[in-house]
Amino acid sequence: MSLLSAGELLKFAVMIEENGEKFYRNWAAKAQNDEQKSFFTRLADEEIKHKHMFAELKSIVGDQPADDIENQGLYDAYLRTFSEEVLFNEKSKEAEKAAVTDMKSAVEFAMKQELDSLLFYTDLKNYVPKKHEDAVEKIKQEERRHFTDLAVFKRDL
Amino acid sequence: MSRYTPVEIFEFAVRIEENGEKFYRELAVFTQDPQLRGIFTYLADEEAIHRTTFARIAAELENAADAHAYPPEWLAYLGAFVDHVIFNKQKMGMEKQSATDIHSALETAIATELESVLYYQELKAAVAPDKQHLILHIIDEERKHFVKLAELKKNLK
Repeated sequence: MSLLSAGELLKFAVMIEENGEKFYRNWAAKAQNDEQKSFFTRLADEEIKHKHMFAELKSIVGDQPADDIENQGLYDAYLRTFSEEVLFNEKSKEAEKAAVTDMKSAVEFAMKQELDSLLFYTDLKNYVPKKHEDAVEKIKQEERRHFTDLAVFKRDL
Repeated sequence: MSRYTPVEIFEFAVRIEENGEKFYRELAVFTQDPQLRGIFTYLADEEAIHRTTFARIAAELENAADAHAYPPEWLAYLGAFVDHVIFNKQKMGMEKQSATDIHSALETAIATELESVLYYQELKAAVAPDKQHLILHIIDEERKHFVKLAELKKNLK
């Protein structure tokens, strides 16, 4: 049996989306033109939609331990380490945030966050009941698009 | 639209493994600690095996000529990933320097292992079902590397 519950991991996902929304909202307010403003506003709106989807999923699956998956021990160890090293690594998060000084560095920071969330959701998908995997995949698809759109946005700055 | 073909996307995995092997070999030479030397040599050996597997998959793909099967969003996302993560020149320069300091070398290795987990997940989804286990096996080994490296970093403190 897994030591991690889907509910616990979904709680992290809700926090990731909340932080993402806050970040994009902040940069929408600092935008230099309407095009930039609508770009960041769209990203913020999508993150808040994801937050609601994860919160709803959390209320459905509750705190039940996840079903057994192949290589369970490895996945548990990996996700615990990932949480410490990446998601809740305050030291590195502070350093990354301190490097955000202008629009270009903000976009670079956002791209890194999108990839971190994609990495996390890939594993989260293994921990939610099968019938909800598609919902997580849909969010992943939107995060991939965010990353691609941010790369184009940065190029055009 | 991506600047890269599906075959090139797979060939980048070969490059990732080549660079990984080289990096761990350099660390094995650099470290004075026999236990660490053993771990870095082991990691380098594993990356060399992964390189061979990816080279074989890329070669088979080249002969299969079914490039039409790859969705444009997939190519766009991975093209942006290659440009902004794998070939981030600044970072590659940093990687060279970091082989002189074990703590930052471990941080670089940790980040690179996670990037490869993310990249290979996308490759896994794009190969024929009978080939997916080959990539999944590599992904699981990269996850183990990540856990091991994070543990080493913790013990340095």
